[in-house]
Amino acid sequence: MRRIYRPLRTILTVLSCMFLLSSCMKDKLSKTYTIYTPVYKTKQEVLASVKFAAPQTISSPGKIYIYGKYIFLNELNKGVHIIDNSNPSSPKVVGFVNIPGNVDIAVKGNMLYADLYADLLAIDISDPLNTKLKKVLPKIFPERSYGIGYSPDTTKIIVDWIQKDTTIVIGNETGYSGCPTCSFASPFYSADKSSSAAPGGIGGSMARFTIVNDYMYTVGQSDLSILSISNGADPVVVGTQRIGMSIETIYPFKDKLFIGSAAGMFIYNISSPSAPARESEFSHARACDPVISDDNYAFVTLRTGSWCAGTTNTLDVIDIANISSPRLVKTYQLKNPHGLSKDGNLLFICDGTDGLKLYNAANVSDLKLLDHIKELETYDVIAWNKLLMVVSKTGLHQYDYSDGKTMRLLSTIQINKKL
Amino acid sequence: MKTTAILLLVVAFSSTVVSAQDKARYHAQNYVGLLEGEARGAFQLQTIHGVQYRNWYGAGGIGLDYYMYRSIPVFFSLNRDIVLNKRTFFVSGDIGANYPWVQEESSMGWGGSSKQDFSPGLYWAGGLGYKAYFNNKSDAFLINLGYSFKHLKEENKSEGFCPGPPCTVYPTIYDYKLNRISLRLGWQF
Repeated sequence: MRRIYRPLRTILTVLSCMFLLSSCMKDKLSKTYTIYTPVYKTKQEVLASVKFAAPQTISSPGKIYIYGKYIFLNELNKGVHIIDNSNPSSPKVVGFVNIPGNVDIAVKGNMLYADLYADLLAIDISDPLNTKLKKVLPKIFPERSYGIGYSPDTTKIIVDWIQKDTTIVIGNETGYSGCPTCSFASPFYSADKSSSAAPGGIGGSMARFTIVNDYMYTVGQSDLSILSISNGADPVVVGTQRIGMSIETIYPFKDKLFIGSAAGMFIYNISSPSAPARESEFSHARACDPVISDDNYAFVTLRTGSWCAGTTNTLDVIDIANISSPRLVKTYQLKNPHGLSKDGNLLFICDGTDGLKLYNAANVSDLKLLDHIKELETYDVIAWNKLLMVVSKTGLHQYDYSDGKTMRLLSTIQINKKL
Repeated sequence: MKTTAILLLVVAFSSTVVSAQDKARYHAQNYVGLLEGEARGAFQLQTIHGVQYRNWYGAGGIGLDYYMYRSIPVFFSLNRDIVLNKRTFFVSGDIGANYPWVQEESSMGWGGSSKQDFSPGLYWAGGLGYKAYFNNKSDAFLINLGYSFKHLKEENKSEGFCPGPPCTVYPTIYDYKLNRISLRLGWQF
């Protein structure tokens, strides 16, 4: 008993010591982050610089748009590369249009429409090597505001950021606050890819702009904007509709718009093009969801990721023969699918880190994998006239799929390669 | 992995010693305890298995550490018994790695997302203890007071509204070097 008692007495002693000593214990917590300082220019200076310039190194490729022999490739938040694709085996970057804050592009006829943060620009590209700014529509995309910290007035535009890594000692706090980078401004929005099966150009499946005849449709986080472009150089806003939350992509097919949101796919009828009417919707698990369609089926890829919530990484094939009542035909498991494109019975899917996949989709209930390029982390794809254009983490790639079974590499424009 | 390999070596070594040395004996030490530091106090649990040879005890251990962020220390432990006036005290030292066991959070909200990633770091501890042997001279009640250090790194990746890649990611790295007073009560058998 004595042997037990003594340790108990000792316990009380050491407990006292412990609480006394603990006040001497200091945790060392540090936080390393990047301070972003904006570089401003006046709006007049920026608009004056929206014109054809010398080629620039591709470093962060975004949306892609094909127009004639040219490829227009968005450089995230910087502008648009112009690539002469007369010979897909040897494409040449011939110029750059400087557009700060640009992430989306679309083309009709000779006009390139591009966002400059919240504004929409109409740029004449009848001579792509001598582009001309025709019109600026202000505040078309109001959600394209700056993040925490910086909100330039209407006379200034942020054209670049000076980055400086900093480490500071912090107090005894845990890191996760939901706003770990409150001390600097982050431009809300990043790039994706472009689309629209409209006259004059072809885009990818992750577009937020699309053009159908004389109308251009754009989606913001919650709105659908309708612009008349009957006079291409003079786009006019004819309406705006609130359509939901976390809107991601828009894809036109005949008199329908397929709109992808984090919660589902919406189908709008544009028989009356200035007043789209919601015809139906197909709900799915929360995920990012580019969508394409043909006459009978819509193909929706659902993916997870840091911005894309949920746990779903699939391809959903949806029967839209009865447009008012879309019906799930089959779900295919994928790794992290992004953009997709279809040419006849061939379905191309960018499966993120699992590369690029080519399926025979003659029977949508039983897709057959024909070819698989694994070494790329792919984002978006356009299949057009037996030529496949793929944007990946490492660059812009072109493939020939004329044999209907395989994808044969024609060329690659690597990112960060000096031109 | 390196720590796991060391742990396996210790166990293998222990088995060898047990069979080769009559005086070497397998012992387990199981502890519950408190960690007190600048952050809120927290519990700890440890189980240590090894061999006592003369005044030395070498062992491998694993535990649970709830200080600030839950983690699993995996370590090698060395004790040296010191007998004074028929009472057994011991000096202890642990060194190993500390593996975070955190429910990593990610959030997606209006205008952006954020994601948390933890990575392991160094764990070490040192202390002074007392062993109160029971009548069988083998089992003992243990009390140990000392210092404990754990290191963790957290990377928070946030990005703005980004329905399609490439998304601009803004990483913030938090480095936690946590100094605590450790009190452990245990049972040796």
